Amino acid sequence: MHTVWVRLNAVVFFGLTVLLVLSCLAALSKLGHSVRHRPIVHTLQLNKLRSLKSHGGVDRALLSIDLDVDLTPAFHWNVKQLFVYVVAIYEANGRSNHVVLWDKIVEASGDQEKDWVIKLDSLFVKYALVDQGKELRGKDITLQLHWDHMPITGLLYMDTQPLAESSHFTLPTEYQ
Amino acid sequence: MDHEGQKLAEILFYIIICLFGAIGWAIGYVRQDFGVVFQFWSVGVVISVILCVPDWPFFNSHPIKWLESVPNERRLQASKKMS
Repeated sequence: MHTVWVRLNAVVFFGLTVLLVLSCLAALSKLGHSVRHRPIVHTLQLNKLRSLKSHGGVDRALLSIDLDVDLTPAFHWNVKQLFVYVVAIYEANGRSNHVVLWDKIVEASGDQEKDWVIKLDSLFVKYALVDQGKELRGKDITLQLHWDHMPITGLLYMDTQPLAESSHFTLPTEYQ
Repeated sequence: MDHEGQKLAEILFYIIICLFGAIGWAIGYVRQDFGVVFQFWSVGVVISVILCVPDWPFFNSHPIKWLESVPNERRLQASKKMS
């Protein structure tokens, strides 16, 4: 503490250590929040199937969906943003396939009324429902909402809409 | 900065940063806004740097009491020989 530089170093790095402790305490204060306060999925269902074709040797379906979800309960002071995505689930050759159809980053700094509530009708998928073979015809597809909590401090926590509450639809048995 | 001043400076910035941090954290928890914590913390660090880093006069009110100079034996012998 005998020179200006030693004192400056001491103050700045003590400050940073305190900031680290405050961040960890903030993360600990919200332990268990995400399990108790889930986003409310009002609607996630097929709007219209546009096409089901063989595209470059693999089956591809293009469709639009209706999405109505309230993400407000999931936000707290240690959440930086939520990564929300729609997953199509179907079985092929005895294996479960999960394909992401649409995603969005919802930032905590966004508007509570406009950004934290997603109400989109006839939302055309961002990414086509593509199989890695020719297994889409006649398949039963379940649409499930997933979300990742990206904290300011701490571990990523991923959660999903309960499967029991997810809607599903069946793809036609012929290409169209 | 004398030794007492250094001790004072260290205690001062410990208290200032921890106090601003704690108050900021409490207000941030109530408002559910971590930005508030960061703002209070920054203010605490800036005040601490201004108050504790420069060599202010109040940090020098206990100057070190150096011992009386002890005559240098060799110089004494040399000056005796010359005179």
